[in-house]
Amino acid sequence: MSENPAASARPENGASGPGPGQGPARGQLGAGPSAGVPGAGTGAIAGTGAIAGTRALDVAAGSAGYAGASGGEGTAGSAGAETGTAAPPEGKAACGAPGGAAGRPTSGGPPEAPDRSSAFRSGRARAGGGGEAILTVRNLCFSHGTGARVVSDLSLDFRPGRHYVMAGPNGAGKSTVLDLLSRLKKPESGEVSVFGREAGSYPPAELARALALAPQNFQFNFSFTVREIVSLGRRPYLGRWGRLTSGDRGVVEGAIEFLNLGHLADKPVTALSGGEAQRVVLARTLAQSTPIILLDEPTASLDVAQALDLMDRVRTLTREEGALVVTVTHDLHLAAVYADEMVFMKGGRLAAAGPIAGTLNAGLLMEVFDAEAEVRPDAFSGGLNISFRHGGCRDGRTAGGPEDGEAGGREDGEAGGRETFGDAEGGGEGQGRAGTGSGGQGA
Amino acid sequence: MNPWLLALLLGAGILGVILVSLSSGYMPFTSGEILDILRFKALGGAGTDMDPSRVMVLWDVRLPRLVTSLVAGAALGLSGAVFQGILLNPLADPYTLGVSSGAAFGASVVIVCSILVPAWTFLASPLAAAGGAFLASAVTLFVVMLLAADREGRLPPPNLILAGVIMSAILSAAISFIKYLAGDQVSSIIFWLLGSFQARTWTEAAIVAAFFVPALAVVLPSAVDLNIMTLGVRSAETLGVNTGRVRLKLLVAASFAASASVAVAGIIGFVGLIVPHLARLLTGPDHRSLLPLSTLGGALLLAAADTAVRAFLPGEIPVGVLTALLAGPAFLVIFRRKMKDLVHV
Repeated sequence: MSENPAASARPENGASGPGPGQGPARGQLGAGPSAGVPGAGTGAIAGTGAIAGTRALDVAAGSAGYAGASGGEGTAGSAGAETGTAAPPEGKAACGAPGGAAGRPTSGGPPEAPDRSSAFRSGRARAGGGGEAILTVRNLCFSHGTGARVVSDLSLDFRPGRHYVMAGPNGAGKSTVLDLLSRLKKPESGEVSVFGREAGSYPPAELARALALAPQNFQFNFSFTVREIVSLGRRPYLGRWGRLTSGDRGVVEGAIEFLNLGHLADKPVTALSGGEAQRVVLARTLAQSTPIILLDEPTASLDVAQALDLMDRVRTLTREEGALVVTVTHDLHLAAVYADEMVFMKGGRLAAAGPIAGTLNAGLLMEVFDAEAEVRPDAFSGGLNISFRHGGCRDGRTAGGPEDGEAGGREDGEAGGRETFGDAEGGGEGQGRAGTGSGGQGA
Repeated sequence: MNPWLLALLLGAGILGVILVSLSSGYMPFTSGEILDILRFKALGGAGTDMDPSRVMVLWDVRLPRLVTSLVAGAALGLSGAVFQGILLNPLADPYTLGVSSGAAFGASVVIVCSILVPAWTFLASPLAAAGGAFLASAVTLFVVMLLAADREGRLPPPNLILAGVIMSAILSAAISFIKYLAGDQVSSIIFWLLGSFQARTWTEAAIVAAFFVPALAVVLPSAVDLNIMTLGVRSAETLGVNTGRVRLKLLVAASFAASASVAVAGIIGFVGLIVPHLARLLTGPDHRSLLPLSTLGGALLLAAADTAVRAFLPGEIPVGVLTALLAGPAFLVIFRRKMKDLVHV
């Protein structure tokens, strides 16, 4: 499988008109985004690499009006607001219906392949929380072969430079959403757009240069060394025989250093501890140099210090490199400290989305997890102190236990979703969920 | 160990085996005489002073047998390495998928038919047995994949192994039934099933080569994809590898290589298992070096074993018995080590 010629992307960019210089982004390597991280910019070959930062922002600029086109309501105009995750509530296509109603972005070309010689973080925008959504989901539906609906009518926007944490009970469809975002599963209806272009229309290698996934259940069956595994992340940039250039090696070493794996680089991965292996998977994912990174339960096998360390790295990626990171986790405490935005799912539906302050509260936790919760600000961690106890809501609504969450929770989810959208439109942080919350508790 | 160094050693080993194999046996040859005869047969020219019977023994008996064993060994080593990579299981080999059993079944059917219906003389040719082997192993592979496919059409390795074991069990029973049908002449099937290169001609050499070479051409360029697929389907797909297509392509290619070997030589166990395993121990799991090294190693091992049974061991025991006796204990050691590793991790 050969590299996709960047030329294939150009005509579209050209057609979109206003996109200021995809090509001219060349020659800016070494500026900005790579500052401060060991190994950054090493191996960069001057004059060749389009810095992702520039590129992604170009794309955003080129696709101004995209939000407006994407459904007419909801996110339009939210560019500067803090509520980027909301999605249009009205005019949505029901599951099963073709996603024609969903806004199809008309401009904003696909990301130009990050230059293979650039440093491992070069595929990203320097964002600091700004920018238009580079990953959007419209009216997404997915069912298993058995007919059970796993994801229902999900619409979300993800913007660069931000860390989104997706939470919800088991079976809420979180991992399925990651699979749909990374095109591991094909949506039943609805649309996933990466840089304004339908994910399914990307050739596999090109999508792999835009979006990377660190899976939860990784496996090392053969005794590859750490360096060999991380090098596999360069596959989307390489030819048939997989020969690494010095630039690729720089990226690989940069990713290894970034995750403090230097002393393990020549060790076989089969000899590593769970935490080390997890970091290897993350390094492999970073070596893909993608502006979008999806992490499926990255801290599941880590101890406290390792989890904090990993989340610090993620913060570096989003804040300094402008990466978009979507993390699925069960650890709400960690989320409260490190997430820029929360996405709560229940029964395959969006329960709430938005900044922590507007979403992570007792009412919502009751609604999503069916457990009574107390949420207090925690000055020590800078996040929230969340404690749960069972009980509270054992009457009508959840009488059947968690199993009927799908059936019973669906309508709740819908209602919750709408309210959140309402918040989003209002641009208000922190007020909106209270309404649902008290309602939930009252029930 | 550096892969290039190992390749060099294996290449030298193969050259050595070729020399020893051609010169040793009931009728010894000097290396000068071997070269003369080879030059004469390959280029024509002055061969007047040669004894025609000696030329015939070397060129029409010893050399085709050697070439057949080299290529069959190469095919087994290659397909073993591919199966281990695809099934993510260092203990997999062509037998795990039922491919070898399928090939053995197909060839047995042809052989027993040629016994039961002597009038159909075409069934007695090696080409007919090979054709039966290919056909049956292809059908077996198809059924195994049908059994193993999940709802999304993927082929999870555990499903493949289970389906292969089931098909192998069924086919073994079928082969037993065929042996029963063969009656008094059951020995011809049994001997073939034991695995042997005795009396193999250029026809067999050509058959196995005709299927091994295309398989090699398909497999080698997929080495990087095979490396990535060891990370699991989700990682591989998000790295841009179409795992379904690559897996199908490699399964078909490796199965054809394996069934070609079974067709011309019967069942020769453990070569496809041990050789890739040793290569991985010596140079690491990178398939870019593992696939070629397993190919060379398989050729060396099987040619050496066949030379041993033909020229150095008393009587002529089937080579499949020798490889099983030698490699079986090695298999046990590896299995034990793997189990310890699993417990350790």
